Amino acid sequence: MKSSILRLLIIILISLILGIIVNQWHPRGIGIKNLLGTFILGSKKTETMVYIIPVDSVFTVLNKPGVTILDIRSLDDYQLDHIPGAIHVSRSDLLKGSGNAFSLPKDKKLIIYDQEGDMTQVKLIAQAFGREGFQHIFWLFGGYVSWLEKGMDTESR
Amino acid sequence: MGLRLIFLLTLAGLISTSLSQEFKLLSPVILDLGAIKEDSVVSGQIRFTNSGDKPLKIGRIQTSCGCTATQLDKLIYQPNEEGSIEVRFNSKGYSGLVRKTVTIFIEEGTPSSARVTLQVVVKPQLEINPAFVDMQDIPFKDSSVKRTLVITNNYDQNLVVDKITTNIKTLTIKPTQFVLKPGSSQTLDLKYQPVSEGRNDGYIEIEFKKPVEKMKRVPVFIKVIQ
Repeated sequence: MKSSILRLLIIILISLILGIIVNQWHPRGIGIKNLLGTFILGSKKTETMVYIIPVDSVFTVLNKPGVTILDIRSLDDYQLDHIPGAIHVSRSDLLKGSGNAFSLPKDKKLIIYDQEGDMTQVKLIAQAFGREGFQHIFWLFGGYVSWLEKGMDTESR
Repeated sequence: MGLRLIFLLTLAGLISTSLSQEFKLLSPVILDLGAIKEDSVVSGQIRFTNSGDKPLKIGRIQTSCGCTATQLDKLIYQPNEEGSIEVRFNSKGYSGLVRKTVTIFIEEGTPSSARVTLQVVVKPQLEINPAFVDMQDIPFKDSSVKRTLVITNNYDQNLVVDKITTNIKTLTIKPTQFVLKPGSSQTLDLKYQPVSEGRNDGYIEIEFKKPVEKMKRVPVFIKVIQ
């Protein structure tokens, strides 16, 4: 009886470790830093720092110094068109805690958007930037399609 | 020297033949399907030609969502032959501007894949403005914060709002039950009492009974500061 429980525990432990390894290797997986952040550090601290903003608010800060707009959609989508001045960053790099976005000055106001404004992404992205010491994170509600819907200018590259 | 030149010329020739692009889009990379109503279907054509000198074979077509269906009559196209892919978009469950992608994988020919973005505007028959309630940065000392939401009926018949509820304890909404005539609007008065500092996000659920049974959820973003 005791040995079967032990065996079960070992199987669960091995599956857990395998799961974490696969998660690291998978292109859409969550980095170890973020994973630990969720379980150990808790998300309370970073949770409070993202502001959800509508299209109009993004429009008013376009091309203002101290503001950087980050596009986390696929590179194909970005190359087709994007918000003027936006920089493309890979979403999977962000979640892994690497990539060009983290080399930006920490006091910059970062406006981040995806295609449709998927709210389930907000917490993960907030954690990724929060851990790197960024203070001002803004998430575009409705994503890029809401920008287009309002008939705003776009840029292609 | 002569040999080297011949070699270089052959190499250049080989490269240019292998780079001859056979699949060429005739329709724009962003295919605008125009504006449609909710729960309807719109179709369009992705037109292309085989601009190479060898037959072109299309492998498969992939769409980014179940709402988009494609149809292709045949897979092999001779040089200079034109073809078209019929695309159909079903707007059920969508509102506002929608973008979906169609990827065409080419089995024999170049490039190995081509991408077309479909763009449709789904005109909502039921409008809720603004899209979310913004109560971020409200001071804790404020005894109550007021906001409004406007519901507009674009249906050609009466709209019956059966129930409005929220998962935020100290948020009150008035009215919670009413009937809207076609083309008219109703303003909802929202009142929030801050209880603690920090985030207290939630949502408002608006249940409609007529003309169709539907539930719309409006996010409420609350952040109380010192």
